[in-house]
Parts: sequence; C-alpha cells; structure tokens
Amino acid sequence: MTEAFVPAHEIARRIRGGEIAAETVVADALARIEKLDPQVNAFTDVTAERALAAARAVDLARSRGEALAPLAGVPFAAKNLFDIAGLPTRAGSKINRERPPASRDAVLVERLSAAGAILLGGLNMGEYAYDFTGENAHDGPCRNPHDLARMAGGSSSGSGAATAAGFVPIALGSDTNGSIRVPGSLCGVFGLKPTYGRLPRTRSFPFCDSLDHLGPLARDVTDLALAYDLMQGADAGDPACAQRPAEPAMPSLHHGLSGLRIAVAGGYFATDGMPEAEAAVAKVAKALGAKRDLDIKGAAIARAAAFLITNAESSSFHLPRLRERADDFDPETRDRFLAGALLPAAWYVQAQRARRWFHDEMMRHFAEVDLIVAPATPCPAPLVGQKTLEVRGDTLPLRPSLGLFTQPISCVGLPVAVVPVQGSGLPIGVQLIAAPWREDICLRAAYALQAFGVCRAAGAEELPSLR
Amino acid sequence: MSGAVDFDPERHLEVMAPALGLTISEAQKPVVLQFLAIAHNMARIVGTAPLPDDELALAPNFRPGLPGDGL
Repeated sequence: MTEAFVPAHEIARRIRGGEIAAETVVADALARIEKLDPQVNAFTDVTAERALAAARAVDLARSRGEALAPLAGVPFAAKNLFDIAGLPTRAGSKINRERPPASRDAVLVERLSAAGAILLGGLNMGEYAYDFTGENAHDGPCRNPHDLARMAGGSSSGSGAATAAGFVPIALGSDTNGSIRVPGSLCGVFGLKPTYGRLPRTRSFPFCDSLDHLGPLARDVTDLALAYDLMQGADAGDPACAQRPAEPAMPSLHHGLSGLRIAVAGGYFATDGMPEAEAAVAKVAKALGAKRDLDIKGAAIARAAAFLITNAESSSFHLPRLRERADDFDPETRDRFLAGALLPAAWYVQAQRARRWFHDEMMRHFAEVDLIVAPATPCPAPLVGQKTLEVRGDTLPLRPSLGLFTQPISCVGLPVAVVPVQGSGLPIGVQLIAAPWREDICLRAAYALQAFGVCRAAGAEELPSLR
Repeated sequence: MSGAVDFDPERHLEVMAPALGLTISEAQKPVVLQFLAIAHNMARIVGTAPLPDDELALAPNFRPGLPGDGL
C-alpha cells in the first residue's frame, strides 16, 4: 500500500501522533492529483492554497499541544454541486460558471472541515446531476481508475474516481436515483446514501427536491462511517432535513452480523443474464449468511415513479434556463430536461402517490428482515461513449438503464451502502439496504464484509494505469 | 391514468412546448420525442399501482411552522 491509499482514520492517527505532518499529507495528495488527474479527470477545481493553509494550521495546533479534531489533516473533496467558498457552484454545467462565487461552504463541507478534514477541491460530475455515466460535454468525461477507457459512473463521477484513484480517502457526492451507488459500483469503492432527510443539503445545488440525498464515498468502511457520523445533525436551511438527533453508526460498527435477518432481493432485482452482478450478489449473500429471497413487488412501479418525479421536478426547476440557454446545456441532459418540462401534471401526481404506496410496501418487508442485499448496477463499467446496454436480452439506452437497481430504493428514501466486490476484471458493487434511519445496519454489514475480505477497494498495485 | 388513452408524443410536444415558452429545434426533436415516449411508458407502469380511489396521499409532506418533518 502506498501512502496515497492509507485510510483516513489512519492518516489522522499518524498526524495526531506526530508521525507525519498534515502539510506533507496534503502536499503529497496535491502532487498525486497534479500528476495523475489529467488522465482521470476527477477534479474540476483544486483548492491548493486553501488546503495547504489549513494543513499548516493543523500542524501549528499540534505543535502548541492543542487537541486535534477526529479527521485533522485528512484530505477530502466534494462533487462540484456543493458550495465551495470562492468558487461558482457549477453543478457540472457551463451555465452555472457565470454564477457569483459561493460566499460560504456547503453545510456538509463545513462539518467535515470542522472535524479537521481538509478540502482539496471540487469534483467532476454529470451536468446538473442528471447522469449515470460520468460523461460531461463541458469538462470532459471522468474516467475509471481501473481502466481509463471506461466510464466512472455518475453523476458523482469525480467522487467515485477520486477515491478509487487514491487522490482522497473520502469524497462527498449526491444521490437522487443512484448517483453515489453507480460510481461506487463502477469505481469499486464504498458509498453511503443515507435515509432521505438525514443529512442536510443546505448550500448544495439542487436536482430533484423529492429525491436528492447527499452522502460520503470512501475506500474504507470505517472512514465512511466516521465521515457520516461527523456530518449528522439537523439544519434549518434544508426543509427536507429531519429534525432528528444524530444517531452515530461508529459505536455498533464492529458488532458483526449477529441477530440480523438478511434477505436477497429477487424478482425485479434478479440478475439472470448479468454474470458479474450475479456473482457479486451471491458472494456477498453467502458471506452475510442471507437466509431467504425476497420478492419486492412494486419495484418496477417505484423505478418508474422515480423516473417521472425526477424528470418533472428537475425540468421545472431548469425551465428558465431551458427557455433562454438551451444551447448551453450538455446535449445529453438537455433533451431529457426538455421532455421533462412537457410532462402532464397527472403523471407527476400519480408518481408521488405510487411513491407513498411503495414506501408502505417496503415497511412491511422491514417487519420481517433487517437488511436486503441487491445488485447495484447491471454490469461493471461500460466504455466511455457507450450508448446502449444489454439487459436480459434487450438492448436498452445505457444512460437511464445503469440506475435500474438503484432507482426503486432511493424512490422511497431508504438508507443504502454500496460495497465493492473485486473480481478478476473490473469491480462491481452490491447494495445493502435497511429500513429508514438504520444506516447503522448498512454500515455494520459493510464493515463485516470488509473484515471478511469479501468487499474492499483496490490497492495501488491493482490500478496499473495510474502508476 | 395514461391507460387506454392514446399518447402522441409529437402532437403533445407541438402543443405543450409553446405553452411553456420552449423552442425545440428540429435537430433536438427526435431525442426529446424519444424521452417523451419513455416517460409515457413510465407513466403507464405507475398507472398499474393499486392505489385506492378514495385517498390522495402524496409522498412529499409539508408541515407549516417546521423546517423539517417535525420528528
């Protein structure tokens, strides 16, 4: 393992213990980004000056004998829809670059910074988050560190790629229909999409209010849980944020699988004709001792509802931009937004009714099981530029189809961890889904899988294109 | 909902786009129509949900006076 692949909690321990200076950690990470990111294209902005100043402040505090915060000196980065003070929040778009620079960081960036973590910059993403590929007409495609000819997955493409490439141990992303879980799966890293309303979205650029979630990605489950815990807590700036106290996941992270009723999602989530997804789900299910299959009826309805809600809300939000600046959109997102702006209101209202119905269906399942195992994507990373996907013998448009298995889950706001299975070729992820507000169960199972050696992010030696 | 009703994406686009102040070029039209057809199929699937005809319970809720869901 090179220094770039050391987990965040271990970096923090070394800095606290005086084994390494925060400035050295940050300078090394910036040097790695400068050298290798031109191939990956994970970063759209590197905040080097700010990062080095913060690192020197950590070193100064330590030299004075002050207590350091839990992530003091640990680098992180954020999808460029999070406000970063001094930068326009581009949200993957060309149009937003004309916005005035943000005057203040997003709440989650502030919370990680308050925990001592050091922001290295903003990360590439699909335009306005309407994307599962990581391709972007304005900033160029974000490439997969496992194979630079392949896509990173989106829309939190830079968040998946930057963690997989060893640029940062922790990144922030957003997930409306799968935008943390798809790049997590394709890049082979861990990710957490918390319960809808758990983490505040204050000062992030919206996509679809009913379905937008923010969360962390990381190469290590302890880092994922730690970052999640440090970001919890209500914020009045996000009307969807639940007024709940923090419910830390770290205290039960090592509790193992004892007492957990675990099932594998079947029916809609069946992986026939998807050999890599099938093998990954089987491996995870066996390691977790999953005892039964669960036919989740209504998942196709939930997926369709999520599609319509996303299409209608996001297009209404962008309507003035679509009227006045349509040519400045990425063509791959523009035409979907244009279609979404035309949807009949009845389709949207019915979708919100169906969402309520499917939520109640899922709650009935959670009376019988604690954790559901499901595939994250139908396949490992497709090639950059690929337009179609073979799914169960059908040729489908790739962009919407990569979210086939993630959309029904975020439709009803359930917490999910995506966990990476490294095969002989490319990695692929598996979803661990729990009842609302039980992120602790998702993370506990993810930790067990990491401890068993079943799920892990790749090390430097497995990324030959980045040497 | 969309059930037995014929949905003609092209006609829908021709009527709705000007009503919303949108100009959709000939070059953009084929892909927009493709996505409208996908959305119509999604609406058809949503229409199969067994929803009661005497209840209107939308997923988003709004609670005056509280910034969040009040829990």
